[in-house]
Amino acid sequence: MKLIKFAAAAFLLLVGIGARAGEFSAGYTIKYGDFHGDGGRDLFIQAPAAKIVPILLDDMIIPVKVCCTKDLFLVNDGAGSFTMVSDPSPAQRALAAAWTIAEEMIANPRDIDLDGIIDLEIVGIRTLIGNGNDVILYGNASTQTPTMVTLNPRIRRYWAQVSGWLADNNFFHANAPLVMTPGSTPASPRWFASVLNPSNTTLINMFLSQCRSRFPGSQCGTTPVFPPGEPCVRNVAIYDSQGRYIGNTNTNLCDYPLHIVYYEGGNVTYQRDYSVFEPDALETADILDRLNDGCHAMPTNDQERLESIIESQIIRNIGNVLASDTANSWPHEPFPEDANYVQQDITFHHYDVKTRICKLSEANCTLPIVKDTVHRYFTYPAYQLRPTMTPIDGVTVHTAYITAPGATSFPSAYIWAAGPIIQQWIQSSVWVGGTRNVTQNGHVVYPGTISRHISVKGDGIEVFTHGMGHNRAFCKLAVENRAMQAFIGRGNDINGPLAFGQLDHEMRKYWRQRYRPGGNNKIEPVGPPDEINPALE
Amino acid sequence: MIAALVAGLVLAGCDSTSGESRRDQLAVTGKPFGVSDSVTAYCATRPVVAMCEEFAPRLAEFLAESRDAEWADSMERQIAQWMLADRQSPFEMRALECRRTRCAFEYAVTTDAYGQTLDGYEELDRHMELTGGVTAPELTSGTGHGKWVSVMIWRKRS
Repeated sequence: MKLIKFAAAAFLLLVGIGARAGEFSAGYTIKYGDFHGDGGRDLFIQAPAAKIVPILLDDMIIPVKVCCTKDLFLVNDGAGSFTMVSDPSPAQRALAAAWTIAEEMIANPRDIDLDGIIDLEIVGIRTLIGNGNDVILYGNASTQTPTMVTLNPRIRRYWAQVSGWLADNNFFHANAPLVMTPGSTPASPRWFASVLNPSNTTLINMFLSQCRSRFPGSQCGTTPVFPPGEPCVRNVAIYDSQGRYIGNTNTNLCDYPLHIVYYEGGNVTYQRDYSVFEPDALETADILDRLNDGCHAMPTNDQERLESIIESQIIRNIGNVLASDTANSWPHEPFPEDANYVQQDITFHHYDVKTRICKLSEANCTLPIVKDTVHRYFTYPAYQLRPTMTPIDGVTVHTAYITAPGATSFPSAYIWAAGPIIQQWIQSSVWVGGTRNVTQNGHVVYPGTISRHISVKGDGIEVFTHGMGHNRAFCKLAVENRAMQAFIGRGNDINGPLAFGQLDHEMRKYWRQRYRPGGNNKIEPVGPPDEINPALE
Repeated sequence: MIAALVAGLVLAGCDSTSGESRRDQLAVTGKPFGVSDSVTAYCATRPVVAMCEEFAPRLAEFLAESRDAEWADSMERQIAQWMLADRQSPFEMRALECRRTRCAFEYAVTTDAYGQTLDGYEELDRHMELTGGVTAPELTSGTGHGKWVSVMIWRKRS
């Protein structure tokens, strides 16, 4: 460990951890003024001057060059959003020089998307711009122009919940409200409180806590059904979304979607209602949990992610080790699991494969047949790539098979046991309805996920395979073995698309033999898979 | 036997410039089979690699056999032809031996050539079925650069 710290210090001294062009750092100033004379308030995000600062790393002080993304404007559209003006002209900078510093807003630098590049979260915009949403400026490794995302309430909830889970893995369980299960609703529940926003777990849990405290002999839970026999309209205390008392007023409680009730006696069954959380947040936490099952292979907090990045920089630059990832993927909507991986980890790899299965003009080239039937037999590489129906229940363990270099085009050669996987349905994002294979401890390229999604594209139906992972196979091995893990990851990055392309080929053959007119039980020669890989074109 | 193999490969279209290196590679054919240290080390990793668990008994079955010279010569020729028929082949033969009903074959390839497919496997597949194997990383002194070493075990189809 001492050696690693020394190497880290040497590395940081040489290159500077904050030297990347498109990264944010501490020291940004927010000003406000009128950019184009429309009377509205716009924002100027002023970068700190580049400088050398001492950084304390354990017991060593290291001079680090701090650099940053350049100044930029956020021009208010009057509807709550902003347009970014990057690389402003000297005249525009001069205009902003006289603007007022927005003391009420906070520029918070942190690696929000876990890609190893520091981003900038700007919060408190509403204190000066009534309807303005907060924004995140995502730093980019290859350009000084950041990517801006407006922090709508849903994205806010997602990050808050994922952060809550990262800080405490019991977060979802502890904060999920108790709900009466259908069929066991008591005959005479009594009203205690109602909540307008069913996903406001802070408020729900506050009322549940108050309910239990006030009625210690009763059970308290939530239900969407307003208690029968209780008056809908009544004078009640009103609280804001943070649970702060506002005042009393007459309200029709039957208009509220969720109610906190208490019940005395009877046999009541409650269950935790996880639907109040963002599905993406639950899925992200669940995948990370499974990937770490039996072997802590994935970082679960910012400190571990930073250590992984620094370690990889050292191994890459001083150890002369090739990173696992090769140019065989392309930009696309992220899968829910992607946020778990650290892209700057030296073993990180990402590959994509698209294969057309059939043309819509062909008989039986439909989603019910291709997606819901045929693909169910080709969700993972089974022994010799044989069609294998699986339950996709998140529990059953299957063995995935690979083959040797040179033999990737031959299904009968897929007899090398790569190791255990479990399977899940993708439950959120634009890829909902797809399937996901999650490698388990003991798999040669663990941890990793391979997702497959079937959709209509153009005049055909295609299967899209998206593989992503680190490689901490034999996770008990120390950092000295990272070179081997990176090497194995690279092999997987190259082999994965070939193996899944071949699996797609078998899937297409299966469809042709069973669903194309005249194809029943007919073994016919087929050409190579129609792989569409823009990254390689 | 080696001369016969070379003749067979020339007929299959090998160019003369790489003939010498091919002869070097073919020199391993028919010699007592052994796996590289990298394979042994990989399969000694704990927790055990799943493919190694299944590979070990298949290798033991092969090593327990005696040699049927006629069948073994024929199969060794076919395997070598599959591996070296393409004159641009990046694959490096390391050991090849067939016995009475089984063959064992070890070869290596760089990561960059990992994805290259060899034609002609179907012909081998008609005569023998692949029953086990392993692919192991072989790094040059921990640099992250190296080769992939694969061992295949076949059994005669009945």
